[in-house]
Amino acid sequence: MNLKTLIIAIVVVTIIGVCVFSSVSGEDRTESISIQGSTTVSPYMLKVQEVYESENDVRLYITSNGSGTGAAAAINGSADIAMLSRDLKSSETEAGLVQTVIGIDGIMAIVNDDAGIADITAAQLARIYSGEITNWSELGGNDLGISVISREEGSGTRDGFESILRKAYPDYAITSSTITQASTSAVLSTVNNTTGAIGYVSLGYADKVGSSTTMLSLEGVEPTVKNVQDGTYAMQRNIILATMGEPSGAAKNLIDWILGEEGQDLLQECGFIRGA
Amino acid sequence: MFTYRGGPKAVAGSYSDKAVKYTLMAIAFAAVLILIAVTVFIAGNSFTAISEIDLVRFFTDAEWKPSDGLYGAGSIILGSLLVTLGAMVFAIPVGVGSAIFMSEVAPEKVRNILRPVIELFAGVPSVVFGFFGLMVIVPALADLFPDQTPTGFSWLAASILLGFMALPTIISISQDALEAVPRSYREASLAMGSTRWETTSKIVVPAAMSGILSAIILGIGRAIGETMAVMMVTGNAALVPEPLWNVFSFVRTITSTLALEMPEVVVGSTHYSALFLLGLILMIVTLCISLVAKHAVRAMVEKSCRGDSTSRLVKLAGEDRMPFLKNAVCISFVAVAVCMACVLFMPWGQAAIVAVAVAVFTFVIGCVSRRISRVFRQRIMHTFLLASVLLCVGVLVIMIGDIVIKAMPALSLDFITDFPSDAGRSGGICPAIIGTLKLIAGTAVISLPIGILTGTYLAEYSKRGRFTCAVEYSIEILNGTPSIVFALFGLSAIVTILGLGISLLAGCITLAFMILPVIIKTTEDALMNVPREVREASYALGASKRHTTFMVVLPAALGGILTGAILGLGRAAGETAPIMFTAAVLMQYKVGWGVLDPVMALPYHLYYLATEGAADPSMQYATALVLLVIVLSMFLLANVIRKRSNEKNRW
Repeated sequence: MNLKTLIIAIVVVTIIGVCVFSSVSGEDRTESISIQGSTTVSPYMLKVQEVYESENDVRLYITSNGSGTGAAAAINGSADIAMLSRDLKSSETEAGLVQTVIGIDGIMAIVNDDAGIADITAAQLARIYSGEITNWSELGGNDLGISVISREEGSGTRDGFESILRKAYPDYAITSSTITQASTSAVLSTVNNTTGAIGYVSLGYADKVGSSTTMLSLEGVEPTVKNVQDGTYAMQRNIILATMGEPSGAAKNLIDWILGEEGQDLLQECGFIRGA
Repeated sequence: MFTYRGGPKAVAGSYSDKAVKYTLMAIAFAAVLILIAVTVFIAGNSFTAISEIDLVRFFTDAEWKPSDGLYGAGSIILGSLLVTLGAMVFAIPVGVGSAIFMSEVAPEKVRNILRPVIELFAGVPSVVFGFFGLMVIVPALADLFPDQTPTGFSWLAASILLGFMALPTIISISQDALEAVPRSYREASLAMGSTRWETTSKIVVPAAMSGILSAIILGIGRAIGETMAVMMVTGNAALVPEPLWNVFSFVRTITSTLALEMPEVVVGSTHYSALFLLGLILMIVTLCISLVAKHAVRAMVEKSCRGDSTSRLVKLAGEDRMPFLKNAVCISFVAVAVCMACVLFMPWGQAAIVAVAVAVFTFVIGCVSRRISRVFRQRIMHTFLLASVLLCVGVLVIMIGDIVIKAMPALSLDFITDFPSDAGRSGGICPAIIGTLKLIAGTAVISLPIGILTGTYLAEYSKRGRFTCAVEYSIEILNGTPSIVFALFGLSAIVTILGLGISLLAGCITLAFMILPVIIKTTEDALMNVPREVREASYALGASKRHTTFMVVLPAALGGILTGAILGLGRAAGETAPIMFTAAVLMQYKVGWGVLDPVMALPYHLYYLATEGAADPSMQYATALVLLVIVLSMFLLANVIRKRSNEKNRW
């Protein structure tokens, strides 16, 4: 290989580069909506993408790194729509975000089958997550240490879960020895594969729960869509889409579609509760 | 390392020469600006944290709960250090042992097969390692030690994984160092009647010690900066292990904290700034480690270079001066280590008894070993070395074999050419493959010209001055910077501030910044390896500096330059964190050609499938396999190029 080949190679690469770059200007690019946010909501949005893109000439760009990121991205303009599995915080509404509730989701506590319990109260959950209860036998289950599994700091699911725990037990302070997992599926598989494990996930994942996992009922109320809908199951939170200011243009069309029949049917298929 | 910079050098004379020189200087300047910009960006964003948080408590407190205003990063920093320490405890003996085996013991044919195999190990993307750790190591630990670690997530899992990830670096560079020891040393030693093992252990290894130390330092850098793999296997609980050496405890590293919390944090808040501060600490630690190493290496080289060959050889083969003290220290060290390990499994009393027993056993072995014949000792040591190599190669084969076997059900032509459907649970991964290829191409276009030309400037045109030092330091810092820090930089500076949004261009720029130090460094090294005589011959024949540099020296160094380029691009192709925040989306049903559009990418898709769970695990394995094939073929290409250029340039 000599210098001539090297020069030719560099020229070729540059030409390709220029072609790629030039594709930016000139062509009319299809409209795109960028959506960022919660890992709980993203499976639903991915289904929406599949249907919506085939019916409309728009591209949906979906990334999910958490509710907090989604909100931050919408605020600084790198996302058109943020998807969150919690209501907006005051700092986020002050920055100009406007939320549209598209559905409701329950949060359920799940444990590995070998824990030996089927029901739990919010106060007991709070004490487990504070590290005060460390063995399942204290709750009437088997003599097994409790492995506590949680989501990361900015997760909307964690936010919803902890606010309910705090209401039931004001001294709640999450213990340092929780295993932190970065997504719902990670929590599901960890609980399924770890003895004595407890975790919390969105109700929408009820059909993905592993074979060795028990979904706990909360103070006698089972975690079902019906119970969330009529309010008897207390652990629930809003699924929202947020935009800077009122939604407009392509984003508004998408949100309207989501709030319409088709969108809400799809929402229910994913295990959430209709919001509209 | 003998720098060409010290010797006589032709000065750029004519106008075209000067034009070239100043163009190169401008490009080098731009490269340095980029490197400095990243550092300044990280440091600047940490400022709020430095001013608002009590720094003493930041380092000593163990409670990290930013939502409650507690910023005790002690446990997190400790976590990074412990995980790296554990990885080194495992990687150094196995790595150096394997390098010694490959360089001193293995026959030529075996060496020629082993070397590319070990280097392939270096090409395995970290998310694939993480995947392997999650699927194999974590459950294995949970089964083997159910009382100590019911879940399997632990410091030990991370250390094992990181140890394997750092191995190829340690082995390759140590092997180079060992092979660079002059044959005359070995021949002299053998001529005096030493066995091969005695030659190796008393002459060759000490002579190569500086290179081996560099290898270890680079391995440490690799381990301490790893993000994705560690995040998947440690459990991420910000704890201080109880007792301190409890390898089964959960830990959390700086890199995992950054990856988990940065996406969620409110930009500009104290928490945001505290995370940048953690990143800054990581960069400083990595810089300190490499500075210390460089000084140590330089001191050792100077010490061993003093005097002529004979006296150096005599010094290397020196007598043991305080055998009794050394032995006593060794035995007590072994006893303490065994005691500490046993405490994790049994009460102190029993552990102490076991420790004493092992100490006695070691003493007996020590006595006996004085009586064994030297040839027998050599056989034993060679067996240990062979075992290290077999361990490395074995694990690599198992890992890749496991992936291949489990990927089989999902692999088909459709899988590679179809678009995904049902949110990734069925269909193919075509857009992810295209996206990865686009990222590689874009990164190459941005980083190669800048990197190679900067390297050329540094090696051929610059004088040893403040500018050169600044460049060297920036390269040093950024070489050890973890990819998550680049991801942060990309997210904040390129996606947000520059307003590029999540796009192919933003991803390519971020990745280019990430591999720029590697390209500059390898270009510089490759150029400096071209002997002075080549340049002098060219000048003697009347060629100008410009002609010499571009027509004679660069082509001669092309092998090394291209190897570095391909290795850098291979790494960029396999990275997850940087593209996760700057370029990648979860799903694309139509693919366009715009550079301002985001792309799907294989590493991110694998991470998504592994953590969100596709219905079919064989799809995860198939994705991992496709990614592996792409990256490994780039590494194979690098090896082929290097071999051919080495053959052509037999000085």
